[in-house]
Amino acid sequence: MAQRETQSPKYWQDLTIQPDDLEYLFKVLLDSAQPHTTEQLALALIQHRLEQEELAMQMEMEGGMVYQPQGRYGMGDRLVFPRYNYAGGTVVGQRTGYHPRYGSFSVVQVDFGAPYGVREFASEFPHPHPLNIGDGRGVADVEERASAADLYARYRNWILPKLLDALQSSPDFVHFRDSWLLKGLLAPISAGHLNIAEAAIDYDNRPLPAASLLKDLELPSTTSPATQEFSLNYALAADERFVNVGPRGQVLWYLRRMQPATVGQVPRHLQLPDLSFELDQLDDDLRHLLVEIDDEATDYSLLPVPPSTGDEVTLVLSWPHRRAGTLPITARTAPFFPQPDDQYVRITFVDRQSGERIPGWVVGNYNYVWGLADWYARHQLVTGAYITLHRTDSPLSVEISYRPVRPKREWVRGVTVQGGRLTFQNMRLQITCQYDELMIVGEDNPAAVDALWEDPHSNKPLVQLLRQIALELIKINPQGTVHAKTLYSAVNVVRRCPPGPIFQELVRNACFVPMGHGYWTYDASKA
Amino acid sequence: MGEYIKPTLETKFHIDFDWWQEQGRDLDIYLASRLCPECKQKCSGSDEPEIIDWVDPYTGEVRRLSSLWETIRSCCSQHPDYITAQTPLTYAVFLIFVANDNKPLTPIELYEQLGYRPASTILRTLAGHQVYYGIRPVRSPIVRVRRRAA
Repeated sequence: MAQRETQSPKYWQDLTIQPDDLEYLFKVLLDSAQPHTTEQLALALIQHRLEQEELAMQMEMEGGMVYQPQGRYGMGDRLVFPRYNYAGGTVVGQRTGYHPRYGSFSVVQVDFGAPYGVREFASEFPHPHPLNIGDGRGVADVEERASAADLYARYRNWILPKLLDALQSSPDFVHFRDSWLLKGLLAPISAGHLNIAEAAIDYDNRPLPAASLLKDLELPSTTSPATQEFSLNYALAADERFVNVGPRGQVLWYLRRMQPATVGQVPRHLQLPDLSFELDQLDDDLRHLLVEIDDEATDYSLLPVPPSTGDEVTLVLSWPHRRAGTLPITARTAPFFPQPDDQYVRITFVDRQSGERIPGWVVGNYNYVWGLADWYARHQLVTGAYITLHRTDSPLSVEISYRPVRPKREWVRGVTVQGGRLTFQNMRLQITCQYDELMIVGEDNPAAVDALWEDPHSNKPLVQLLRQIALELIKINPQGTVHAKTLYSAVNVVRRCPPGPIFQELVRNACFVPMGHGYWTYDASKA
Repeated sequence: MGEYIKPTLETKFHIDFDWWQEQGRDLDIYLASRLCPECKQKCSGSDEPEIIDWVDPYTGEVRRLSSLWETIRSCCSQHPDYITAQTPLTYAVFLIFVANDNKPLTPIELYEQLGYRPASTILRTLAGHQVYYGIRPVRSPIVRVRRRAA
């Protein structure tokens, strides 16, 4: 289809950002004196290119006319042909034409120059024709054109990377997140201003947005609030003292020194081994258990997890998370926590029973929330305890509860250290909460158990550990079986391991014999 | 010749008369075989068919064609056996363009008129290296060197 160059995909695929384009965007930012998003700049760039093209066409058409079949043209007239890429030609001849449907009309001979030569066109042709519209002066009258927004929607994947490259390479432009401003338009933020911002956050003892911090800075009123906010965000991002702890789309500044040191590093009990598994190898029972166990390392995109639409979700506390004072972010729990704008979000846990407010942190890159160690310890929650998250009106707050019972000593599955190694046995322990019978693992000497924690990158094969633990757990069960969930829970007392690789070892090794409904026994003769 | 653009289901095609000229083929031979019995009888009595100034419905360009084109467009194309299920696909597409006075059509629009071959098959056939009956994507025969605005 004959069309303007800017209307063709190839034009945008081959786009090179020219110095002239950057000059134009410079002018856009200078004139508005406001930060612009990358999308706004891309739209401005496309509009600029469209206008350049229009201008070039108008220059070429100076003294000429847009060809229309209804027009009357004389020798020597200069015509521009919309359907021929706006090529121009000169009328060099004329004759009378005839068509049985239309009768007589005029035919003009137009010379397009070498190598195209002369072609003939209808003129004084008043019959219906798509080019017979408008007054013949406006190029846009005779064609359908995609707007800058349409072109952006179609070709943004080609345009944006090139635009970002060009902007980032230019010393004139600065950006914070997805917003751009001219370096020369930045409001002056001095070391003194940053010290005041630090003091304000320290005093408030909570993350603050730039807009709040600006109230104390008294920047010159000659710059707009949006530019002031951009300038402060830009300066804070470059200063090591500050960290953005807002949820996605909201920048909230906090002091790095006020952030718990442990938030910045993955607790050793949550460090994951480099183990994979093949979902196809697991039967329906094991796949079902994979969905039931809330483990942040499970790739839930592969599993049919029903979305959490309710206002609360209950999960079972695992040994690693109990030790680390954390909870996993999984397909079921994710809707209860904000996603970080950067790496972390500061949130507040609210104890549903007491109303106590507990600072917490969402660690987005590693899919867990931190800050519950004291709460677990205070309520003497065991591995296997039911924990419920309750949605609140604030995206930065989540209520948390457990199911308390009157404290009593109960016989439960427990782990202890004997002769320098971990053993599992039934133990009489103080229980304060309801728990999952399959996942509970009590303990009487946490420090001794901790001392035997294996590095996730241990060379000891997982199957060896699994055999050892399965034998011990089968030994203390009168039925002589062990449930896959119990194995998962017990393995994670010794070494961090997601359920998928554990279940895969169960399936792959003949010594583990499935008994149905998730229960397994051990056949030493097949080991 | 304009730049090559890989045709899609949205690409408009038409009969390119420049192709017939380049190939030195006679369009009338392919048109005459589709005359209906009445028109065939009328034509058999006359000498050479009359030449008309055909106006391109898309560009306004004028082509000197024989009046067979207009006879078939206005009369013979209305006959039920103008295109049948036995008509080869490429020839059927050619006849659709004649019936529509060579108005540019996409493979989807051709399918809507033809009805018995999917648009993807029509596209695959027309987008190949071989040009059938001059049917090609619509593009400008003139490449314009554009001046850049100051």
